[in-house]
Amino acid sequence: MSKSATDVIKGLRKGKIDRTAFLTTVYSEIREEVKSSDLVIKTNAIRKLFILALEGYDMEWASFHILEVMSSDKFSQKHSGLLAASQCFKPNSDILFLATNFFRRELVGNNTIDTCISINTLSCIVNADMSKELLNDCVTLLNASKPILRKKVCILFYKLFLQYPDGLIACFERLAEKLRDESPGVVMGTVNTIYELSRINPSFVLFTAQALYEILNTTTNNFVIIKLIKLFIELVKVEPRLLKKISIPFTRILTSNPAKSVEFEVIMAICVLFHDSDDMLRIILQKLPGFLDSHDPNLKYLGLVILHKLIQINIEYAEEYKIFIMEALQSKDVTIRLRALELIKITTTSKSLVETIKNLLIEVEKPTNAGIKEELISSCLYLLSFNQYELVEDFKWMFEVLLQIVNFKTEIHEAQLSSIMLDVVLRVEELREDACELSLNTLEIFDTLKSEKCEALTALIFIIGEFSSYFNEENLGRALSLVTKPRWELLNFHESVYNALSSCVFKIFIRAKEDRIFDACVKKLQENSVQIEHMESQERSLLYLNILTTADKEKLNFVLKPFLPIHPSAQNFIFPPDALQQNFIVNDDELFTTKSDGTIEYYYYREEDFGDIPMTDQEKKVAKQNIKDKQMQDPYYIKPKKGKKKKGKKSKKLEEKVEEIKENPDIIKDEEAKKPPSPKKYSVNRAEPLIPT
Amino acid sequence: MISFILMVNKQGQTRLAQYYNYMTISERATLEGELVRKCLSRTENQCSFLEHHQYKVIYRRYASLYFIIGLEDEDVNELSYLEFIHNLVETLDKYFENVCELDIMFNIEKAHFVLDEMVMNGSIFETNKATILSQIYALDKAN
Repeated sequence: MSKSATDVIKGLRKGKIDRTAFLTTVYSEIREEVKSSDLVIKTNAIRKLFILALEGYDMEWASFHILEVMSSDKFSQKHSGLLAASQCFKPNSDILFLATNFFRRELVGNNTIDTCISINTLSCIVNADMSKELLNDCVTLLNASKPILRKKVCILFYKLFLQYPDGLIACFERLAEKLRDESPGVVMGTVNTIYELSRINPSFVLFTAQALYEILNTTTNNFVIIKLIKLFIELVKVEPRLLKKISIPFTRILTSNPAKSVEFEVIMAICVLFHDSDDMLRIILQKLPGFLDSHDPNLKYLGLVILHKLIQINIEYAEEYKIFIMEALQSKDVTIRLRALELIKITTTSKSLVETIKNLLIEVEKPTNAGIKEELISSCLYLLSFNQYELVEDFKWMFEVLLQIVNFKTEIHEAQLSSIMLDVVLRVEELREDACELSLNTLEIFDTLKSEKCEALTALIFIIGEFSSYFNEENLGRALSLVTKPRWELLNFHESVYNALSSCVFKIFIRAKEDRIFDACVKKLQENSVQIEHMESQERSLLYLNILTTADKEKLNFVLKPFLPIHPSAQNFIFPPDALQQNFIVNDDELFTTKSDGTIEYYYYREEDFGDIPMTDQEKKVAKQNIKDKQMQDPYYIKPKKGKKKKGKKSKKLEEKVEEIKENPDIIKDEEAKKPPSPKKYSVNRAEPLIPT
Repeated sequence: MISFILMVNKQGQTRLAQYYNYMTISERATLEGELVRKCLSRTENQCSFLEHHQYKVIYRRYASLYFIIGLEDEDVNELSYLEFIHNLVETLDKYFENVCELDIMFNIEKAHFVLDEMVMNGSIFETNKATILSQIYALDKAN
């Protein structure tokens, strides 16, 4: 006798059975039963399958059988089928084509309950084609006599519109009429749909604002109030005049509604919309302790969220609530700690930066924070690099912090970390000497710095190579012995490390003055070129080796000049050399070919291209015409758009500027003088024009 | 818009799962397992809100069952969803008369029906217990 669904559940609950074995038996039974033609057995099988789905068994293979069960006339069978369908029909599966007719029959049918449960399932599985087919039937249902049907259809519309947006324009007005329906459930459903639509396109739903305003003033349902508040935030974005009208009901809700959830919602709305209004902000500040001081941890959480919004409006609030934030960071609750972290990100000033980073790094090492380690480190890096290092006052300290973070070995942050390190060393000249020494210290334990891409390691090697001119002889020797250690090859780092290593050796050689260093460098490069597995690294080592052994050392002094950062617009000040100013022809073959009978066939017909070739005007004309005809016949040629080709505005400006500079080179000096002096103690090279004064 | 509503017990067995965005069976199983583990590691003194990947999760424990709601939106009023969970449990309680986990297990289809009367498409559209229950009694008659 086949088991019923209840039997399956009871079987699973028995203590001593082997669950997997039991489930497998049931599963194979289902596979047999579901093929039967008797609907009762079939339904039973589908019901059992539904329970198995909760255990992780896939239902999709039974889609066709589920459809058969759905189409039954008996209500219980239909319900089981529909439920199974809503769980397992995939959005783009073929079964949906077959189901469309079924749903259409249900929607126009007389039986309310059947229609209801069909709508339930439909909302889970409807796709674009089905929406198109069923839209009209749904619109008819909007005027059904039973409120339950109207209610459900109003919600269904959102899904239909998502799948078939063209239907939106036709039907939306009919939907909006439901805002004035007598049944509150229908109104709630319509408000929900309109809210979701307003998030996509607020101006489209704007005409309903009047009706929505009336509902806001009359309804007592808190969920509706919350949805309406959110809705109005969206509408105000496109119609700022609404702001004045809604300030009255918002204030009323803020002061009178007892529910905390509504209070929270309206406070958030006021922070977004009315951030200039002092009265409103005052009321909010009165309400805030009600959240932050509460014993209920949920209210504490919400208080922190409100605080976040308030501080974004006015940073002065940060001072008063500093204690809350630090306490929250120590809280036992992970969610509250994450919130506190967000707050720390926006309240740290340059004075409090050192203290804050110190606290954050202590938090990283605590085992309770293992889950949020990455967020903590991201926050540190965010604060350090915020607004081009605006908050940092002591760059040497900052570099030490960065090296500390390198030791935490979080792979996600390595790329950001190495780019910040390089950026800061490049821009801040005074830092370079300290950075080199600190990098050297860290690199002495280079085995521990191994990670997948070794970006941090590469960055450190680059720093000691590039700025090795700041080393004294002793440190230079240290650096050299470090890069020539045989352990590098054995540890099998990423390719970029070996490339950086070769460059580093090369640069150190240029700096060095003693012969023994020269020999050591040469030897190291020779080894690298053989022992390292990566082809690119070997090639680089050989290249550097050849340069070192064959070139004159004085000529290589250009390497001593350090990299400098330049402003992106500096490129505009460089004008191309004369040779590039004119369009020159790289290869005569591109311009024309000489055919077998001696005539010349041209590929281009721009005036400039004919410059060097002696031709009469008549010949040029003929050549141009030939080319044009050939292009028109070529199926792969994309014909240019008709109408004049506009010369780009930018290129015109650039040309004028170039002309100006050519005539009067002093312009650059004037422009440099106009710039205000850099206020920081360290000279941060943000925009050094390339043309020196 | 709600992404999913789950009822999972302390052993990690899912009693009811309603997803409003399509997810494959394996994704669902992973999600449910991870969420219940996170909920189990939290105490009564901590807030009922979590963050899990891109989801904001609101949960509440009733006896042996965790009721979990997940959303993907940005501005979520967490407290209102907590109130909704309570509303849902009260409705189930009224219908099943002192509902317990077993009631939901053995009457999964009815539990789904109650839920479908309150939430559709990820939006809460009915919170009035009387209206919801009258629908369900009509359903029982039709059976």
